[in-house]
Amino acid sequence: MMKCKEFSENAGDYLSGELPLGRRIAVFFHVTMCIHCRRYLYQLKISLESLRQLAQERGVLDAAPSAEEIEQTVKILMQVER
Amino acid sequence: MASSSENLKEPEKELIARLLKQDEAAYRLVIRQHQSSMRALAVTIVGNIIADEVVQEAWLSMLRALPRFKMHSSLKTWLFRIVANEAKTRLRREKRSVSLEGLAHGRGGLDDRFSNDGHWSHIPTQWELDTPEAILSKDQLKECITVTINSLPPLQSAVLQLKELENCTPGEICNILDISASNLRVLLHRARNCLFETIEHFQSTGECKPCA
Repeated sequence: MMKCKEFSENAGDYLSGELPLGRRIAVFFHVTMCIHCRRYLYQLKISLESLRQLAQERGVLDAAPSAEEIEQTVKILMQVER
Repeated sequence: MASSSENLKEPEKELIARLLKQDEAAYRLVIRQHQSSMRALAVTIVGNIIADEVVQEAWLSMLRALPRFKMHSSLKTWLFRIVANEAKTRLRREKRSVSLEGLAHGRGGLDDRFSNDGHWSHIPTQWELDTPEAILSKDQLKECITVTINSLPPLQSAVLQLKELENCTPGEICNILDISASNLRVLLHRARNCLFETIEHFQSTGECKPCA
């Protein structure tokens, strides 16, 4: 029977779908029976979603380099090639 | 037996062929597609100030290694691996005593929240801000999340970035950062729960106390 500590160690992987089937089932059954872990799972989920939305909002990953930055890098690389 | 390069999509194989022929347009495309993500990964390991230098070094390393690229991974994963290696090397050179993993330190992982019998000793409490939209409606909390992520030990920050923002698989992350699967699980557990506990603390007290 899965205990809460073990549940917490699997919660993140459960959210990202990384758990093997047997452990996924054990997590699922535990969370249906434990209100504290149910709350923790939800709060972990929205914490990670907040992080993703914040990164998107700040353009951390999507901001393409400027044309000038691209040309600078290409110039350096082409010089090495020659 | 299927070649591992068959796992790579045709457009990517064509792009690599063009890069090998020193096609400038291909270089521009690759830089435009990947530089932001590479920089974001470099920032997690070496910080903002020298991230650009690390990325430039990574592009040069990519150039030298390109003829030997066997396409066992996607181009993106391979570029990430290169930039992570450059970043780790640079970090070790700049700060000899830094702990890349931060595992020697006690914080993170909810270790002190459970009693010996495995049950919660310090249970999660109800949050007032109980959606991502509500959380991000508070500028102070947004800033707090940013400070927390920036304060994480380098590899914890890197795995969080690669898993939660770049959606890399565990196998890809282990390849990129040259860490074991078990090490990855611990790093990710600590990083995720650092974020959780920081938000939880803010919800209870209105104060920012980055867990890292």
